[in-house]
Amino acid sequence: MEKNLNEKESLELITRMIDNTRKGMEKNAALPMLIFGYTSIVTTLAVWFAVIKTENHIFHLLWIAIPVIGWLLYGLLGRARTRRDGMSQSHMGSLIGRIWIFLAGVMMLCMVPAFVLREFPASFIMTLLAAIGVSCTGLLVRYAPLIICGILGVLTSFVLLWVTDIASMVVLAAAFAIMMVLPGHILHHAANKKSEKNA
Amino acid sequence: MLNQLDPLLHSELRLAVMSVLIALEEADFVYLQEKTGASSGNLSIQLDKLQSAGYIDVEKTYKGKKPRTVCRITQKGVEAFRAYVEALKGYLDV
Repeated sequence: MEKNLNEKESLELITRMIDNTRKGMEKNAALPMLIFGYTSIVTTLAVWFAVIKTENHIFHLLWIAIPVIGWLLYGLLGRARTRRDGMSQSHMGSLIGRIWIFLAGVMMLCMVPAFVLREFPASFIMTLLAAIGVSCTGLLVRYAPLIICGILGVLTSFVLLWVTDIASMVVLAAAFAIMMVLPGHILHHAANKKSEKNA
Repeated sequence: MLNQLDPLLHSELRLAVMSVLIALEEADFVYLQEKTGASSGNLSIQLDKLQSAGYIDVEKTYKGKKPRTVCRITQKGVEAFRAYVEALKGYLDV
């Protein structure tokens, strides 16, 4: 059945639909930040604890859990959400996705020299790359908390140039909390608040 | 003189679909249904009309064993939407 609108109703409908679509995008953006943020913190603390207790550096292989568990959880939760709400992809979302795939590739590449060269500042480089990713995402979507948390992440990464022993794992976990978990919760809370306001 | 409003877009559901798609690269049928609150049958009919006019591309694929309909706005659709909004502004003197 077709319902024709008057001019004012048409403009209101356009505004409402575009606004609703943007809100959905904000909520979707929070999910990967929270999943990868918490996975990174838990993995980092697990590596720190295992190495401290056993003094066996083989436990550094646990780092691989970040991409494996992260993508697995993201795939499962994303699939459940797609089944319920359907699938959409924004131009900005796919651009940000490509940036993160590139950064994740470079981070994985950094793991190779980290296992071979003892002096290789892998923690610093990986934290810096992740912080740059968060800041770029914030700049692209023009969302201040993401930009600020990304900059704080960049600053925290430089601490890792001085703290290079096993204590660097604690700094790393703090960096993940600042640049991923914190903005993820802010984004999620803001999107929920907007939804409640419009309900 | 005021521009005539595009009759294809001057309908609630078709305009809602175009407003969602203008903000996205692509969206599937379930997403459009969730956003517009339309019934499956009605949404299908309106998507066909928009596709026939060349305003959207509709791709029917499979995800696993489930059929999936993905919609994208075309360049012609973007131009028509832009012209429609401009015409609306003229009517409302915005």
